[in-house]
Amino acid sequence: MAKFLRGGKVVIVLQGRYAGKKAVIIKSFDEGTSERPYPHAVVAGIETYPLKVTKAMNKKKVAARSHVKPFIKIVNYSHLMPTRYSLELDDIKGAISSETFKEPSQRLAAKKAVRASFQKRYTTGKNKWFFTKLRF
Amino acid sequence: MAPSKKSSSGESINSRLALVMKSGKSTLGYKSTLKTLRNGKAKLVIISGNTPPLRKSEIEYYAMLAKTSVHHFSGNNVDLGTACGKYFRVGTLTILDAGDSDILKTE
Repeated sequence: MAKFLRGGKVVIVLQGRYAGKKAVIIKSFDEGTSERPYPHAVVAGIETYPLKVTKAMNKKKVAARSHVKPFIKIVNYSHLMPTRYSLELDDIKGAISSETFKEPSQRLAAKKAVRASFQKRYTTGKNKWFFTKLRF
Repeated sequence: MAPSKKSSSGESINSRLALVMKSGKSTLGYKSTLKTLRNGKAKLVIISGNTPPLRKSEIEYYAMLAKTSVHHFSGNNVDLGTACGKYFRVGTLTILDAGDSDILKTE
């Protein structure tokens, strides 16, 4: 009886190229729009997860293995599996909107912003679940 | 004196369901239950006894996120379909509006 697909919710993408990848809902459209007459959400997710690092690795190797490659996508609700986790990210909320998907250059700029935000969050060590690969 | 509660609540859920079908609003089927859970309209979800455990736990997870109660119907999808007055099997159903029934109050 409560809507749970809102901004900040962590979801798992179920279909498409990014199936099995974790993502965060940036903006949700429960009623759909004129271009997409179905309930959908703008999500930002991780395409390539950061690799495991150990104490034995030197700084350069750790930095290389901690790279996060993001993706942004507009996904139908029925292609998402919601989870109980949430990831509050204020800095990318403004960077992505439905307008960013019209131009490839805008997409690149948005992805850069998402990458910076995710990288920063990963290095703080918070939201560990989000940055670990879902094994299936 | 307060009347004693019915011990065989398997029968009473059937009669309550019949009343909901007549006077209230419900949706039948897995896809529509997920839809109604997502948009927050579902009040009660009923799952039949023989739904596969993966699907059962998926619906329970959605209902947990949506803070919606789930009732595990004691009977298979054939029985649940009959309880709804339908001639087909029903594995999952959602009650959106109870109408005259008290199914939501006793759950």
